[in-house]
Formats: sequence, structure tokens, C-alpha cells
Amino acid sequence: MESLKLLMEGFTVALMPINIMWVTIGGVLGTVIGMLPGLGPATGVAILLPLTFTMGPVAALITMAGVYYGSMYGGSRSSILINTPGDGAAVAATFDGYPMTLKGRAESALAISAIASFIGGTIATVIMVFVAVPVSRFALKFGSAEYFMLFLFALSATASMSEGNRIKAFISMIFGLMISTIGTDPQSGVNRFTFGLLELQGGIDFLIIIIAVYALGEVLKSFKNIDEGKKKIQTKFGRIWITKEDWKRSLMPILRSSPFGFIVGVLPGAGGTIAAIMSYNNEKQLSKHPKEFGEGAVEGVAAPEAANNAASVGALIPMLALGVPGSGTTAVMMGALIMLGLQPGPTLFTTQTTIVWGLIASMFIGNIILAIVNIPLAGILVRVLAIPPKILYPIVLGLTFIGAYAISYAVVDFYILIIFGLVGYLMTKAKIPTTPLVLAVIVGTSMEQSFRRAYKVADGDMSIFFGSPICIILAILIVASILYPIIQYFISKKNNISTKEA
Amino acid sequence: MTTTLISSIVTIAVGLGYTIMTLQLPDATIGRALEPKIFPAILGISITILGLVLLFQEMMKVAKDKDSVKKENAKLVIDSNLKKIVITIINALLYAILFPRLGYVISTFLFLEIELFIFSGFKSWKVSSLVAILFSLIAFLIFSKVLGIYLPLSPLGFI
Repeated sequence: MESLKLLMEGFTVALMPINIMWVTIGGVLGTVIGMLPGLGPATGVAILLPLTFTMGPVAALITMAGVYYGSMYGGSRSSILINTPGDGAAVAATFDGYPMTLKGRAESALAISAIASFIGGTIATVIMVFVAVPVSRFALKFGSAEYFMLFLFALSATASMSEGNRIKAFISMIFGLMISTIGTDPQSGVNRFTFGLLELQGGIDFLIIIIAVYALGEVLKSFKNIDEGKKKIQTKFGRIWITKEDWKRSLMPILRSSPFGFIVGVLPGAGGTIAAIMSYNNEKQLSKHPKEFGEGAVEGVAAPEAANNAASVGALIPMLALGVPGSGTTAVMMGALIMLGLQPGPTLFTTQTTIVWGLIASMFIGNIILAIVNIPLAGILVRVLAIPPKILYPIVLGLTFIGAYAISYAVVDFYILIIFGLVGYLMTKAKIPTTPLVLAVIVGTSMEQSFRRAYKVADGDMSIFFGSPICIILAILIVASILYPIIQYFISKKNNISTKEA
Repeated sequence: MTTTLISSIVTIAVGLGYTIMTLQLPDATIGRALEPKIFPAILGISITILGLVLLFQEMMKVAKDKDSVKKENAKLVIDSNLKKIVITIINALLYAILFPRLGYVISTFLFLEIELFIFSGFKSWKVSSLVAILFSLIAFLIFSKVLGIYLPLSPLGFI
């Protein structure tokens, strides 16, 4: 099969010693950043991304993938040890991981989460090898109108699935789209929303917004928690491995959660967090000892960890094959590709085969390396958590600024960083989700261009957006994604009422 | 006054402002005259409508349930947390101003020093200064020399 042949070629690239070095560095950095509470894969990639510009595209991409991956592993470390998840996807690991630590079984928890992550990630990457090319071929059927609908679906699904008030999520999304319109319009030369400032004519680089909202905003948010005394953390570990019993109990949950996580990851709007929580619930219902969940059941750590790593791989499919990011983190990865001059989408698989398959091959290798790093070396890495946040967070601030500067070497970016960092912070305080905004800023320009091209082709006739079967299906999906949470809400309300009456 | 009320009003204001600016955009001389305005116009109007919906929704909620106001009350609590955030922002602005003039190492050192003081107070100035100096130098070496990212130098010329 052609995919396999290309994969083998990819391996020759990925197995070059220097690329192995990059994936290791990226992986370790990603794990460390993913461990820090509040910062997650998105932040890690956002901060480190500009620093890879000077590497070649393959090295940069491999390092980024390492960071992306590493942070998936890292997020659960702090969940297990100090009950503070590193990111959304690691929340499920706190349910049983922390109880395991309290019972003195931290080593097993750390080991099973690394093993489950490894298996989940590898299974997902295997599926991806077979699915990627067919999906990208399907994507060739997409015209401008279809792309516009697809972007709209990805954004609205993400907004609908956000926690809390859906209207706020959509406001966040539209605000992000508004930001993406700032700058000189490429097709007509009209300056839009530049307030007469020369610096704004090029628009606001989405990377700055990502760093501002995810990194700076998070640090500002964490000020409140920093003073709260130092959580005691276990730094001496026994052999980090699992018992046969643990393995027997975890195997099936892992094998079930991996493909499940992958599929959830492919859907725009749903990512690691939902995958992890859903698979936790699935396993709880399927388990022979459901009562143990929440008390330190090893499956309770294994399942979500496998699912969330699988989901993060799955999320790469729409991003690579269609050019549509399905989550904040994949959006940042897509930013990385664009920065490197690569255009995600169906053409990526036809024109940039070495790079794409090198990336996929390095994901297999990255998985292995990260499993090695995270199991025996977990004790060392975890010492990072022992560094007082009072010192750590200012350092993170320092990193955000240098990252921002590395993008365009313009000091004006500092000011934009500060402004949007504040905006991100205020939004979080107002309980307005920030992910829709970030996603919207990244896809906004492509989305508008698709809109205008379709509009031009149809000469102003709006029905082009419902013209083809793909468009109609997407339109239905868009409406469904908006209505689904509402329907769920009503169903759960009805269930509550009927159980009350019973 | 809940935070949601404030956010909805801000949203409406931003939406109206954006829409008005959109309408004031000059007509395009290449291509269709109105084209650059279509997408922004849709955005501006939609967000204003959503802001209004949010406002009504929140007003209904507040009228029905007095407790919800207590839960989401937007009181401006002038506590140490707020001071930290404000000083950090001012520190960051200072960093941005000094950055091109004093070069990466010196301005970063000042930024981190102040920031660490905000977090740890003046008592542990030795630790803070050490961290600030180490980070500034190590970052400079790694990013500028190893990764090849151009960082401005100070008036001293070499660093």
C-alpha cells in the first residue's frame, strides 16, 4: 500500500539521529510544561513554537510534535501527584490517580498513565496511517463554499461544546473572527480596523494572540493560587512500574479507550478532555468493580490516559488533511505548519510527502521515547513540580515575551501581547471561554477568503452555501452541534423530574 | 451588577463600534465595492445581537433569582491579587519600553527582578536576583547563540 511505503520513507527521516534528538528535547520540554498546572499543551507549543523558526521545517515540526505529545504525557503527572491537572485532558486522571498516590501507589499510577498513553498514542497513530490519505483525497472534493461551511462547523462545534454559557462561547468566537479581519484586505487593499497604525496593517499575528491568551492569561490567572502554600510532593520514588494485577485490569480498558479516543479526537470541538472523561465513564459502567472508581482504581487512570493521547492524534487528521483545526492545541500546531510555509490540507499529502510522513513516523518514535522518559525518569522530571511556583511563573512570563519577540522581531508585539493577555484574563474572569476566540483568530482569514471566493463564484447568490451534498450535510451538522447540548439539557431535566416523581 | 451583565454591555458596545467602523470603511476600488465590508458586517451585527440576547438573559436571571447576583457579583476587590496583576502589567509595559533601548539581557533582568519581588517580596532578594540574572543570561545564550534568534544588545555592545 502506498501509505506504508511513504511511512517507511518517513521513518528514514525520523530515525536520523538529529531528529531523534529534537523529538526528545521537544518531548521533555513538552512534558515539563504540560506538568505545570494551568499551562498545557497549547501553552507549551505556543511558547516554544517561535523558537523553532530557525530550525529547518522538518526539525521544527518534529520538535513541535514532541512538545505536543510530551505535554499529553506531562499533564497527568501533576494530576496524580498533587491533584492539580496540568490541562483539561488531565482532569480525569485526578479522579483515581490522586487517590492512588494517597494510598502510596503513586509509582503504579505514574507507570500506568505512561503505559496507557503510549499504547493509546501508538494505536491511534497506526489508525492515522491508514486513514490520513483517504481523508485527504475526500477533502479534494471541497470547494470554497464547502470549506467555509467546514470552518463554520469546526468553530460552532467548539463553541457549543464549551463549558458554560453557550452564548458567551459564540461571542468569543465572533470576537476572534473580528480580530482576524484587522489589517489590509489582500484583495482590495482597503485598510480595515487599523486605527491609522502602520503596525496593524499586516494584521495581528495569530501566534501572538495564542501566546497572549494561553500563556500570559493563564499566568495572570494563577496569581491567586500561587500563594496557597506549597503542596507537599513526593519526590522519592520506588521502582516505577505496575503489577501484573494492574496490567490485567487495565489492558481491556486501554484497548477500548484508544480507538474511542481517536474518533472523539477527530471530531471538531471534541478533544482530549471530552475523550478522557467519556472513556472514564464508559469504563466505570463496564467495570465489574464500579465502586472502586474514584478510590484508586487503576483502570480509572489507564482509560482516560489512553483516550486522551489517542484523541490528540485523532485531532491531527482534520488539521493535516483538511486544514481545519478541531481544538486549541491542534490550532496552534496548524499555526506552526503555516509559519513553516506548509499549507495544511489535501495538498499537504500530495506535495509535501516527506515532511508529512516524516512527522507521522516521528510520532511513533516520539511515543517510544516519551514512554522511556516518563517511566524510569519520571522521578527526575517531577522535581520540576517542586520548584516553587513563585519562581516558576515569572520564568514562564519571561519565556512568553521572548517567544513573542521571536515571531516578527517587533516590539509592538509586546504591547499586543500585553493587551490580549489582559483580554484573555478578563474573559476568564467573566467566564467567557477563550478557546473559540483562539480558534477563530487562526482560521478567520481562511474562512473569510473561502466565503468571498464562494460569493464571487456564485455572483452573490447565497444558495451556493447549500449547493452541494457536502454543504448540506455540514449545514445539518452545524445546526445539530448548536442544538445538541440544548437537547441534552432538556433530556437530563426530564430525567431528573421523572426520577423525582418515581 | 454581575460580571455577565458587564460583559454583555461591553459586547454590545464593541459590536456597535465595530459595525459602525465597518460601514465607514471606504469602498473598494478593485473588485466589488462592498466586498471587504460583507464579512465584518455580518460579524458586527451578529455579535451585537448576541450581546443583547445575553443581556436580556442575564436580566431575567437576576430578576428571578436574587441569589445569583451574590454568586456572580462583580465587586472590584482591591486585594493583593489585583495589585499583583496591575504591577505585572505595568512591569510588562516597562519591559516593552526598555527592551529596544537597553537590550535583551538588561531589560529582561529588570523585568524578572521586579516580577520576582512581586511574588516573593523583598526579603528573598538574593534568590530573586540570582534567578533573574541566570535566566537572562542563559536565555540570551541559548536563544541568541544556539538558536540564532536575533536579540537586541544593550548600549554596552556585546551583551
